[in-house]
This record gives sequence, structure tokens and C-alpha cells, in this order.
Amino acid sequence: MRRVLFLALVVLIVGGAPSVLFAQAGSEDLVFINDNPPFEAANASMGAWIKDRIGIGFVPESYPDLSTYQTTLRQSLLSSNTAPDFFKWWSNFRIKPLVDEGLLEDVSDIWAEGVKSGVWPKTVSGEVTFKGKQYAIPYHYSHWGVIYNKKVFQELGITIPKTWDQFIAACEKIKASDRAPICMTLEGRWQSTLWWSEVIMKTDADLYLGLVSGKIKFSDPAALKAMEKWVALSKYYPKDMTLPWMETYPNVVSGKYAMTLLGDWLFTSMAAIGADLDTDIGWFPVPSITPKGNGFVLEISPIAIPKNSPNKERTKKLFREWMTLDGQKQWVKTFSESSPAGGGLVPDKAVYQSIKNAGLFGTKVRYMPRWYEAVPVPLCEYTMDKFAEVMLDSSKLKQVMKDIDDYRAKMK
Amino acid sequence: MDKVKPYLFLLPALLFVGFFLVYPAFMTFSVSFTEWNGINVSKMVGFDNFRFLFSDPAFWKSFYNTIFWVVGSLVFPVTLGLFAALMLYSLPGERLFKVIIFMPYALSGVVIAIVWSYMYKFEGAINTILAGFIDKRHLQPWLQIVPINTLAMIITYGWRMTGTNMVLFSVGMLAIPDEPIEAARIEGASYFQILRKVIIPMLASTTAVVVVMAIINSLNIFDIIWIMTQGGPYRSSATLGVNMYFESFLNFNFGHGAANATVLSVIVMAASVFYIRVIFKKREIGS
Repeated sequence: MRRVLFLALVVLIVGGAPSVLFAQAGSEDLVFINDNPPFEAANASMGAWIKDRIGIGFVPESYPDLSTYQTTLRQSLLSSNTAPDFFKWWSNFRIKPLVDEGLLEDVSDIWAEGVKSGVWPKTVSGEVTFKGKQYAIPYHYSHWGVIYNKKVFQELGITIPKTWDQFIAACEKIKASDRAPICMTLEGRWQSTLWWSEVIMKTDADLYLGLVSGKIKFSDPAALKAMEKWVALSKYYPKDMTLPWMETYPNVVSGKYAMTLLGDWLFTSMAAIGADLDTDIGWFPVPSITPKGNGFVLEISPIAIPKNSPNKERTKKLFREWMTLDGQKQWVKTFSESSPAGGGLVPDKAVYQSIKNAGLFGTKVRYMPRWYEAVPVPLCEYTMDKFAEVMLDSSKLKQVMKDIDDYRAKMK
Repeated sequence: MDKVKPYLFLLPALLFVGFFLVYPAFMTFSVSFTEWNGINVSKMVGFDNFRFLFSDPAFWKSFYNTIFWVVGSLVFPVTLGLFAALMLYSLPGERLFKVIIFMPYALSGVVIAIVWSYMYKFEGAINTILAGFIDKRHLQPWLQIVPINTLAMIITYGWRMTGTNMVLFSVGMLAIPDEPIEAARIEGASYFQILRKVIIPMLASTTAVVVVMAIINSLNIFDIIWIMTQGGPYRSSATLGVNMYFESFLNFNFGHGAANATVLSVIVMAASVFYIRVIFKKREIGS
């Protein structure tokens, strides 16, 4: 009898395990899988708000480790037993493999409603559009620029740089005060692409797009010349670039580092550790280096519904509500982030007004895709390491860029 | 029935090994001949993955780093373990010292890696201590400097593994009879002569076991490297195991990752066969 009970218990646990991984049909709240533990409370709040409106809510489940999240999520999409209700991903080339394998639900109708209502500009959907159809909606919508410590700037008498020379002069002044002007880490690897891409697109936005598409080689003389300004920034990074990235931005809040280049989603994390977004932290766009350098990084981090989602129709209803003007106003309020909906929504904080004042919600802005999503994954991963190699030894610039060209040529 | 019984007793273990070892190994080997990103239908590509692997500078860098790890694991934790076993033998407080030296092995590799990675930072404990002895201009973020970062991780690994090797050598020393040592003492041999000509030769088979285990463990090293440097900067400290992880779980190129795993498995199997032959030879000598 004991043996039978034991076996029954084993079957119950093993058989029930897949169903507790993600919410199944009939469960009240949808489950939102993501890799953003710092946003857990904000997600829970957003889920509760939507539930009050339409009776369908969601709870977040966050993975702290990026590669574990990506691997687990990709595999989970293959079966309705394991697929989540919806999940956060990355756009462009990062989401393309999922679209190509037919793993994502077409949400073009939700976009069409949003554009028709005048809430959403059509241009925003570009990075989640494949063969004319959209497969995700925006979650984070981040303008990238320089996030700086206002008190350090005030102490050193630095005004917001409007030109590249002014920016370098500010870095020199900050360095002389025994601080690292620019926050940087190579832990996590993706950070090595940030200033590289910013310097290129602020030199010549078309040069950046040419490097993205492969029409221009990395060893092209014009590209190498532009990269010299990127290499020159290395002396403004901290000596120790091994800190986990989540430990770097607190140093900007404390004033140990003066500036960092990240998306405006960082403001929420900074506020969570006590930064006042009106008085402590400021934002300015990276100044153009030449008149052709008019590109601005826009990062769209989307959320998507798996084709095998157990609660597809309920999730689509939730997405519709998310995309309404009220939904976006609630998003802005809950996450303290910006949204392009309704002509550009920003939280009522000085740091966000800086983004709006820079004219970055206008239709004439030349938005550039972030390097992380703009190129095929193997090339992106390869360049992350190669850029780091140059950051640590600038004499390797020409050889490294040739290596990248060779790698790209070998890619299928 | 008597002839079948032994196999019935073996069956659970065989099923376990078959399901969790043989089947995954076979699947990995077969994936190494395919192009597969984990979500698409795999396509046979023959030896393309191996051709890519052997022409990839990252693979050779990881191969040489793996050799560096093997040599480092032999030089550092094995010799220190032997030294500790010899020095503590019959010393007052021997047990207490052995427990202290063995304790790091009881800690998780991840915990050790996190603690040591902070110690190696520019403002970490290592530099705080070094600042008392050397010019501050020579201080570095040690995990950022190639190839010192690999050496730093080998030291961390050695700190963890010395205790285990010490225990194995201590057990080996317990098996050494007293008579040859007494005879050498009576003949007037010094401590170092007894050590060199009696104890160490009689520890030969234990030493072989420790050395081969150290080689196999160092070939498989992953957790310490992943936590401390993620194989960086720019994959300068990656080993074959880390490279395999990169290709499979960052590039989602499971074919490349499986080819890397196959090469690593062949190397580890060769070391394991050698290890097993040493064990059986020891047993033959013992019997």
C-alpha cells in the first residue's frame, strides 16, 4: 500500500511539474516571463491595473540571468505545455529567429488598431515587423543618451555639452577631479558596443547603417577614422571594468562615476536606490561629431505572445489594453519610463523632460537600431568581444576590424 | 536465474547511466554534425562544424587556456596538497589543520568564485594587501589583465582543491609501512633523504591517481571561470568548456557547441582511460 502511495506521489509531482511552470488555460492571472527582476514590482502593479480595467491581469516571473533566460524561454516556446502566456524579448535580429520558426503570434491587428486610433506612430513598429506583419508590441521604449550626476557637473562648473569638443572637455575636467568620467564595464560583454555605435552614428548615421547592413566594411578607412574617436574615449573609463553592470550605475548615483550611456529605463533603477530624478540625475543626448551624425539609438524591447500560448485570446485582450492611450499613460506612471504613444508621453520628472526637450519624439528624428538587435546574433556576440579587445589595447584597432570583416564574410 | 541475477542488480545503474550519460553523449555527438539553433529543424552539415571549430581562433585560444589550466592544476593544488600532507603528518594539531585546509572544498564553487572575484577587483582585498608592499602604480584589476586573469582563477581553484589532494595523499601515506622508514632512519638517512627516496616513491600510485583526477577536473572546469570572468575579457580566459557554452547558449549554434563538446569529451575520455588503467594497475599491485 505504501509503495502504491509513493508511486502515486511521484507521478503527481512529475506529471504536475510542467503545468506549474507557466500559467495554464483557466488560471485567473496570466504569467509574464521576463529577465528584469528590478521591474518586478512595477510589472505586478501594471498587471493589477489592467485586471481592474478588463478583468484580465498578469503576474511577472523574472529570471536574473540573461543566458539562462534566453535559453529557457526559447525552448519553452516549442510546446503548449511549457509556453508562457507572454514574454519579454528583444527586437529585430534577436526576435527574427522566433518569427522565422513560426513561434510567435501575429499581433498586426492590435498594431493596426493602435495606429488607426492615432495613439501610435506607425514608424515605431519597424523593429518587430517582418514581411509586413507585426509579432510583438513595445514594452520598454528607450532613448539612449548620457545619464549624468548633476551634483558632479555643478561642483565642477560643467554645463551640458552641445558639441563633441565640449563633451571631451567635460570628460577632461571630470578626470582631473579624480573621478571616472564615463561609467563602463566589460562584465556582461554587451556594454563594449555602446560607445562604439554611438560614436559611429554621431559621426555619420549612414556609416552606422552601412556597418549594420554589411555594405560598409569595418576596415573601411572612413569607418576606422570614425572609430579613432571611440578609441580615444578609453582613457575616460574606470580602471576596473570588471564590475557587474548592475553595480556600475550606483557609482553614477554616488558621483564616483560622472556619466553613463544607457537607455532611459535606467532611471527606474536609479530611483530605486535613492536618486532624485529631478535634482540628482540629468540626461543629454550624445553630441554630434559632424553634421551627418544625426542618428539616435532607440531601443524597443517588446513583449510577444507565443503561438503555443495557453491563453492566447485573453493575452491578446491584455495587449490591446496595454496599447491604449490609458494603458500607455499607466505604463509611464508605473515604470517611470517614456512612451511614443499619444505624441510622446514622459513622466513628470526633469530628467524625462530633457528627452522630450531634445526633440526625440518627433517624426524627423533619425532613429537607429541598437547594435545588439541590429545585426545577426553571432556577429553581435563576436563584435562584443572584439570591441572589448580594442578598448583594452587600442593598438589592435586595425587588426580587430579586419578580423570582424573576415568573420562576417564566413557567416552564412 | 542465478546467472541473470547479477544483471538484474546492475540494471537500475545501467539505465541511470544510459539515460543520463550515454544517451545525451550520443545526442551531442549527432548534433555536432548538424546546423541547429534549438528551435528550428536541424540540418545535416557533415564535418562543417568541426572544420569551423579547428579554423576558429577562439577555439584554439580556449584549447591553450585549457592546457594552461591543466598545468596550473598540477603545479598548484597537487603539489601544495602533497606538501600539506607531508608537513602535517604526525604534527600536533594535525587534524585541526587538515580540517581548515579541507574546508574550502566544502564550499560551493560559485560562492568561492564570487568571493574571490571581489578580492581581485582593483579596490579588492588583494590590492589592499599588495598596496602595503608594492608601488600602487603596479596595482591592477587582476581579472581584466590577460593572461594574469587565468592565473588568478587557477589560484582560486587551487585554494579550493588543495584540501582534497591533501586528504588523498594523507590516505596514501597511511598505507606506507613503518619498516622501510625505520630502516632508513637507522641507516642514518636525513628527513629529506627519507622523503625523497622512501616516502615519495611509495606514494607513486596515489600520486598517479591524484594527478589524473586533477587533469580530468581541470579539463571540465567551468563554474569558476564563468562566474569570475565569463571567459573574458574578449574570451581571453575561456576554456573548451566555456567555449562550448558560448557557442550553444549565447550564439544558439548548438552544432558548433556540440562539436566543441565532442572534442572536449574525447580529451577527457583519454584522460579517464588512463586514470582507470592506473587504478587497476594499483589494484593488481595491491593484490
